[in-house]
Amino acid sequence: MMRTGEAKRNDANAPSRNIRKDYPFEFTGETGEYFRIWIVNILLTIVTLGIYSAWAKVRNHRYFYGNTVLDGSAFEYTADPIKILRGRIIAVAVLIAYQSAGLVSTSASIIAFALLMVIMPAMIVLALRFRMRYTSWRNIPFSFIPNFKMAYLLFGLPMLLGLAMIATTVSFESDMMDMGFDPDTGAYEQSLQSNNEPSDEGTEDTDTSTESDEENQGMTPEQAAALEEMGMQFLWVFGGLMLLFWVFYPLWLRFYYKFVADHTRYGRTQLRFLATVAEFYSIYVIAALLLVAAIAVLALLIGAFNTLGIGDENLAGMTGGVIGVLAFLLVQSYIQTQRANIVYSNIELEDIGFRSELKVSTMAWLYISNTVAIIVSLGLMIPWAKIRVARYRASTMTLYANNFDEFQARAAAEVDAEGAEISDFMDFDLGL
Amino acid sequence: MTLWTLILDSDLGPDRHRQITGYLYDGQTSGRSRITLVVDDQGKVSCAQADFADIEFIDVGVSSRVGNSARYLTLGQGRRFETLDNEVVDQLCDRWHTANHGLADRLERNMKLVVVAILVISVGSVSFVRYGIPALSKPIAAMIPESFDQHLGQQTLDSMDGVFFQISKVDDARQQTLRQRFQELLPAEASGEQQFRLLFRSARGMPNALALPDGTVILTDELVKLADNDEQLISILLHEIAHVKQRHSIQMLVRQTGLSVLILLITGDVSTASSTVLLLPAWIAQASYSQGLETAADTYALEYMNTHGMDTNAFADIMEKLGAVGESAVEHDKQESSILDYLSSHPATQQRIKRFRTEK
Repeated sequence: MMRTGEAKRNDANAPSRNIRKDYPFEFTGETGEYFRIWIVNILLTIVTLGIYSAWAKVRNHRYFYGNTVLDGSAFEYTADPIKILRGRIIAVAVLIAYQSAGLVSTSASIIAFALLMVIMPAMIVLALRFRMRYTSWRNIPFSFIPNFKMAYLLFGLPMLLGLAMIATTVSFESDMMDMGFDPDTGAYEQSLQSNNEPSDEGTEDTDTSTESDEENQGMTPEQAAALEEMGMQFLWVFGGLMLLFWVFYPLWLRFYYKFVADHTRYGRTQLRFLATVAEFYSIYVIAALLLVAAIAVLALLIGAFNTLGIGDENLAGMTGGVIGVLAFLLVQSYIQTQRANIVYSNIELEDIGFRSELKVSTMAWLYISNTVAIIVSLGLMIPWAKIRVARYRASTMTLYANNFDEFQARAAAEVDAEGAEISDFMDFDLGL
Repeated sequence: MTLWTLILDSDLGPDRHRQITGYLYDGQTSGRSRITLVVDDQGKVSCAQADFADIEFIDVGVSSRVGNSARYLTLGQGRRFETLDNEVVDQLCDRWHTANHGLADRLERNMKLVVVAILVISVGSVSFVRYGIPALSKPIAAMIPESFDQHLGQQTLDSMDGVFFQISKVDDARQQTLRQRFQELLPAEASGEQQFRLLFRSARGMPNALALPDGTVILTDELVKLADNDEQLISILLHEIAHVKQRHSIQMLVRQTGLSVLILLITGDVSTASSTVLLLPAWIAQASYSQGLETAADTYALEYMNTHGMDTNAFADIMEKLGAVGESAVEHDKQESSILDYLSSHPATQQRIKRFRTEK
């Protein structure tokens, strides 16, 4: 994947290619050292009932940024904990307001959800702005130029699709109610009387397997047919919308990264994003094929278990579950690895390029072994896991340039922390 | 290393000059120059490679120490100096800076404190989850208005009717008898908002009983069929009434919220890979809460039956039958207790049955 990006740049900047030199990133953090920072962060956060969490976040970020070194100069995280604390207080207030809207009534919670959706793109922009503003290298900060119009266009379209899905579901449910399904008695009104006699056909023990012929007994045949038709219609519309989402997702993703890169600056210099739409589609097409292959293997194995009659149900279920989880993790690692490689390898800063060469197998191994280690150690190995991932990511990242001494700084405005915090709190992945 | 030895180490001799080496960035461009700063015993900063007129170390801003990562000295006019000579910078700060910015770092270096932190966090969070949250959930639940119970119950019933339940085929006479008995079981002091009612639903083969927070108790046709007599169903209804009366759904909501807050406090910025891992302890804690509430409901039923001279074996019998079916979704299923009990929402059936056979 990164080859393509490099090739593109080769064409554009053929003369300067010869003098460009590789500069590897390195991560200098150590598990023991980070463990102490991590545990003290947790202790102080609990002791201060969460107030210290803002300082904890800054120390955490400063550790990871400060140990990410390029050509002897470290990255620096410069955010002010007070701003992060203020943002967190606002985020908690918003969250409480949102939760209490749910207590008041369904319509209040729908309105609260809609409001949250309406402000979300702006929050994402503010979060990006905050994060870039407080990241610097060689005393030159990055920055993100807010473009709310673009953000609303970018996030508005998938939101409309999500809204259509919700609307389809809600209207299907209300259609069912209209057909005379009474939630208080669980009965279809017209047929309630005709079905009063006790039905003793099913014996007690085999009762579990007779659902298919009991399915429609509460309804007249006309109602059953109408319901079935409605159900099919719903599935078609909902499935269609779902398909629409997945078909356009890689395209959307490419525009999202382009949006972020196009509005990000290092000093005065704007980032460029060269990845093509095809590169993003290739990730998801291959991931889908991997998933199909995994399901096929799983089905074969379960079939083998059943025909051979090996072990009991539990064993087969457990094996299937483990294989399923592993397959899922593998596909997940594939997507994340390839996405990171494509995104980073296609970023350009004037004549500076990057190369990200993460391996799917290594990333999958890291994820799986980290998960096991964290569970077995009851969480105490979280620092070890994080350091490992950071070290591997840095070791596979290279910058190539002939000179990076001449980037100019720009006069930057202060950014409020609210955006960063609301998104952080709700755990959105804004990773570039 | 203790705080005390740190202070001793940093006691500079009067005639010693201190040197720090690193990169100087002017803040205008990304260019850099490698320089060595010398701080003399008067606290004056000088440099052979760059021109610093009259800078005192007292006026130099120093970023706090984070492990052994690079520190930054702010030298005025937008200039920043990046250095890895953390020990020397610490010594200089101890001597010239009155404000103490290195507290977090000193705590992190204090091995005893780190060990204490591990103990406090693990013992503290486990006991908070085990005892603190359940103890707090009752008074907090009491603060939530009962209109919310109504809302929640209605919503749950609506969605279950929409996707899962079918019309009941239990005949009217049986329904009437059971409703009559149900009314007699209700606590006299039932508050105004809690309107108890008994509904019957067919549940696609699952023998089950459930209580919704608004006072709706549901018996599935499958459970009615499974029971040998009304006494067995009555014993189950008592268990369900206890769930409503003690507002277990609301308590569970409060406990889940408490759990999420605690996890948020502990993890802070934990990345996505490890936060999925946290689902497991959260799951175990929730299962244990659920088991605790089931036991409380059993206790209520047991006491009621004992004070009203009813045969507690009825509950044990129906539980045994449910255990034999082994398919039930909520009223659980296993014959023996095992490690997996920690993950189950209900206590081991065998233990529950034993209680009703023996505690009289």
